[in-house]
Amino acid sequence: MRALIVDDSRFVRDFLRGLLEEKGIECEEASDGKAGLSHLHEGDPFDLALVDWNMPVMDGLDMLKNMRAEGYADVKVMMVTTEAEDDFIIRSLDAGADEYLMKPFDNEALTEKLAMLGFVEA
Amino acid sequence: MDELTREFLIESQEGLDRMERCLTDLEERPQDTELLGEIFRSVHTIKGTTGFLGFKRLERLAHAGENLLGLLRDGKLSANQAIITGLLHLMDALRGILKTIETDNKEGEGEDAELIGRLHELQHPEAAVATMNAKAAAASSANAHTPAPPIVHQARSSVPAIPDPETAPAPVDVRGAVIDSKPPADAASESGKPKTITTAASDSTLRVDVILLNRMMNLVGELVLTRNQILQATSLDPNLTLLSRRLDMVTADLRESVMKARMQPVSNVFSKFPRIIRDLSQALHRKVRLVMEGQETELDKSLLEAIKDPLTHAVRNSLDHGIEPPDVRIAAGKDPEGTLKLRAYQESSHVIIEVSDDGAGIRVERVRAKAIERGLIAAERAAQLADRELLQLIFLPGFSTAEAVTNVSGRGVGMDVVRTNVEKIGGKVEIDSRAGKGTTLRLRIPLTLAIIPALIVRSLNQSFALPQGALSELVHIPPERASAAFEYMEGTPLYRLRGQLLPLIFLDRLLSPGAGSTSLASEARAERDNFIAVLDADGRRFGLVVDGLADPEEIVVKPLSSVLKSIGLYSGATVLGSGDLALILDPGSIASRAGVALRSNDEGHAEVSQEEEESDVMASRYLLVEASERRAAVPLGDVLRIERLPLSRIEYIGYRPVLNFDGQLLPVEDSGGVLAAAGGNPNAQVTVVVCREGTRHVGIAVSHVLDVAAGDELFEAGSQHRASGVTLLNDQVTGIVDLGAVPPLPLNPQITSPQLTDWTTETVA
Amino acid sequence: MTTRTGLTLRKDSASTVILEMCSVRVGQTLFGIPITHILEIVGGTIPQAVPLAPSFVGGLVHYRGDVLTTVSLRQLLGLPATSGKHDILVLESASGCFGLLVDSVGEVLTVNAADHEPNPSILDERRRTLFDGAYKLTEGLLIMLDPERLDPMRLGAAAA
Repeated sequence: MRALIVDDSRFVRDFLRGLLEEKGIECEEASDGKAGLSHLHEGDPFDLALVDWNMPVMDGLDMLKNMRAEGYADVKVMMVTTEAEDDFIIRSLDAGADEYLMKPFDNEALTEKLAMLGFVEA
Repeated sequence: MDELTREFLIESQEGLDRMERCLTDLEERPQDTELLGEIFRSVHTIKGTTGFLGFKRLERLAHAGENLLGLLRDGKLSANQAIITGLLHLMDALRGILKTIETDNKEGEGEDAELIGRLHELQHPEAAVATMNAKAAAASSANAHTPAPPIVHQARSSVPAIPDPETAPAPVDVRGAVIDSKPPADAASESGKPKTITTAASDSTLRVDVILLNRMMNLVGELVLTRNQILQATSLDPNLTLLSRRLDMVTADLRESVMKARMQPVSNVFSKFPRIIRDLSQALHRKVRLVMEGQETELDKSLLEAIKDPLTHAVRNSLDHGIEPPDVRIAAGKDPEGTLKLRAYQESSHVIIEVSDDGAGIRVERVRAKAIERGLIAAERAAQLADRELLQLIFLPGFSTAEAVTNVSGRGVGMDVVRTNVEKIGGKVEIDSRAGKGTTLRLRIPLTLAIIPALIVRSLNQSFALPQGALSELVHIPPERASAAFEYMEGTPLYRLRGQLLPLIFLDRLLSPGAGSTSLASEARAERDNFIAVLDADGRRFGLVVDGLADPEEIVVKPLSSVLKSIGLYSGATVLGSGDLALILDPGSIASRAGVALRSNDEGHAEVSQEEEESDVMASRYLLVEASERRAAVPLGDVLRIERLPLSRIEYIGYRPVLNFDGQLLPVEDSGGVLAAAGGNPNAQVTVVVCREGTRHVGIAVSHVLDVAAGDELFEAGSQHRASGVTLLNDQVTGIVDLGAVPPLPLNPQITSPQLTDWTTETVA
Repeated sequence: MTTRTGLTLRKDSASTVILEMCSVRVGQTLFGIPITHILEIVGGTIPQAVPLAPSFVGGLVHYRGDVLTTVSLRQLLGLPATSGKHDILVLESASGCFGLLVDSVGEVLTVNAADHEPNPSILDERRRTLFDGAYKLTEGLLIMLDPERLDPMRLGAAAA
């Protein structure tokens, strides 16, 4: 099982990687949406992408739209964001996100969301 | 502190650095959405990540900022002076808390309500204006003349509007706008863990522990030593020459690579100045345009740290004493907006950093008056000082030309601190100023600390290393001249150097005070060669008398144990190419120990008038060389270094002798027939003086380097025409080598670039 | 880097504790230094003199990229200096490494902890501060040196 972490914060990437690897999930990282897409284009396929919203170069929403447009339908996308606005959550779900996770989160919150996607036991 | 918290600190500090740069750009382009997006993201990221670690204070502050920034980014609000000031305060407050977390692992106590309140207020422009008006009304009318913000121009900028993460400064640089000179090593030991330097997240870079880098630098130093020893040991064996030359090149490359890893662009320091200048120009009611050049120039990390303070002082001085208030400038027919220029560039093994302004300049009469008033110099002596020398007085402790005591540069601190700090790292400070036109302060910083060029001198049958940074010239005293050359004033030895009385320190006498009587020692002195190394250290000028000179070397500085450091004469030790250990002499300590006074206090009258005529010292000094028993002079300003090498290193293109120097060929002029005289013996050693000629380098083959001396101009009899091609050196008419006459190589005349500098180079002081 | 050869402390039986000491000779006297404190032995070097250094400083030697300050045991004991090559023990103390200049380095001796005697009271002041008692060997005494007490920094502070 492989996950792609897309976030411009090294801290968040490290934090997520720590939690995911504990669950036996292999991780790759990218620091913006564009870099995230190239990770998808190259190398082994991913099962899950955890995508930040506000990033330089290409934001999370655009990355998500591109992903879906390019046909990466079987990669589950979890938007990771601080934005509590319903507006954003709705926009990203409209664009094809499968789940969302609000920062700051802890292991419990992450596990719960991963379970919703069927990746881990709750 | 755990890894995640450290990660958080590093990232947040990087974000704030970006925010700072963007904010100064924002003053110029308040509508730039990219800038606004970048600033928003910096604060947003802090807010987003701080929640993970439970830093509530930080989170509340960042949240308040994020709300304001969100409005700006979405175009619902446009940035004005008040908002930018508010955001700068936010940045400072965030930095303050991060710093507390770094040291205490806690956010600390603090009242942020006022700042949060102001950030809220700023979200509603009408309300904010009302508040400001109320404040303005309450305050004096002077507030109405708020100066326009400085415009930041970045000539040849290497920092784009959206900073490249790779050029983002390392977190150790983040100390807020007030520069903290504490070295990062201290901070690291406080937190009990080694600190890592970092470049921002990027797939092609990785973070390396500074301690590891220092270790690598040490090992490379070792390799340089071993290389030097092998070069010496194999110089007589032609079979090994090829191998050792290869080792030589690889070592040089490796050293350069490791040094590069320690290099950081000066933009890391320069980037602090837009903010400092913005604040200062407002406080001082000046209009200032900042121009920065050469920010990509790189300098060793530790040196960069060390020049932060001096540079800040210099910049403050320029604003405080240099650039005039707009009305004064207008009255003087100048642009009301002054220009402050920060410029960095590399010049052989030094980085030059210039701080120049087009302000009032320094009026030497005022310097003279002030120096006399402060008792730094006697009035009659001051009357005889040349302008250039008067300017140097501002580097004396306790000197300040400020008309008023301001809270910016204060009184009496400044230039002496600048000089002390720069000299501490082996650099030099020069100042040029023209009344009414402006002032340029030039810091010459060595590229690296760990390896320095040094002259190896002999005394007491032992080798000592003398840093070339302090060396200004060498004087050879042959045995027959010894008794006349050394003069005594009440037991104090002196030497007449071009008419100036130079205090002398005999190294052997200094180091073995008990040995023999003075008369015995001077008898022995008269029987052998003596050399005077003329040194400038900490503002003191003196001659150090040694028994012998060996070739200059690049030495690797090794620290001494505290027991030996406390002797107070040695700054370290080194291993020479011969394998011998040599102590590194500390010219400043030697001078103060021997009681050599500060230069300006000690100068007699006679020397001054002589010095006045020498407007450009280098131009009239020559390296006196001998080639096959003929003497010739090479202009010292053109001499890059002196190489002693086996004849086998000289190769031929056709009949033209050339020297292959790390793949760069330089033509070797042998009009003296030195190479020919050495015959076919490949083991013979020859000396090549490497000179600059226009944009190329040329070598002059000589038998010996005799002296450095000042040349007197000669005039053609019966005319006022200056005789060209000859000079009077040590009372002898001596021909000057015409470097321009050395024909270019047939291959490619541009092959020797001006950057022909690496570890082997010995810059002639 | 460190060349700590073997265990220095082993229990042969319930009652005897065996220690390993490096023996060195200065003049006629045999001294011992616990081998746990010895990083390396460098033979036949000529230290570089340091003018104006305190008399106990035996000079500088080049050791693995560093310049080590050496302490001359001869000088410390007030014996006349000898010129030429010396053996040097590279010792580790709390404040770092330093070299101990001796006439010659001998073999490693094993001693029984029970054979240790404290410094006798008739020893002069200087020797009392340098020595750390002695072991009674069959062929004579092995006078113990404590590297911490020979540290040039400590000697320098004492001399000041």
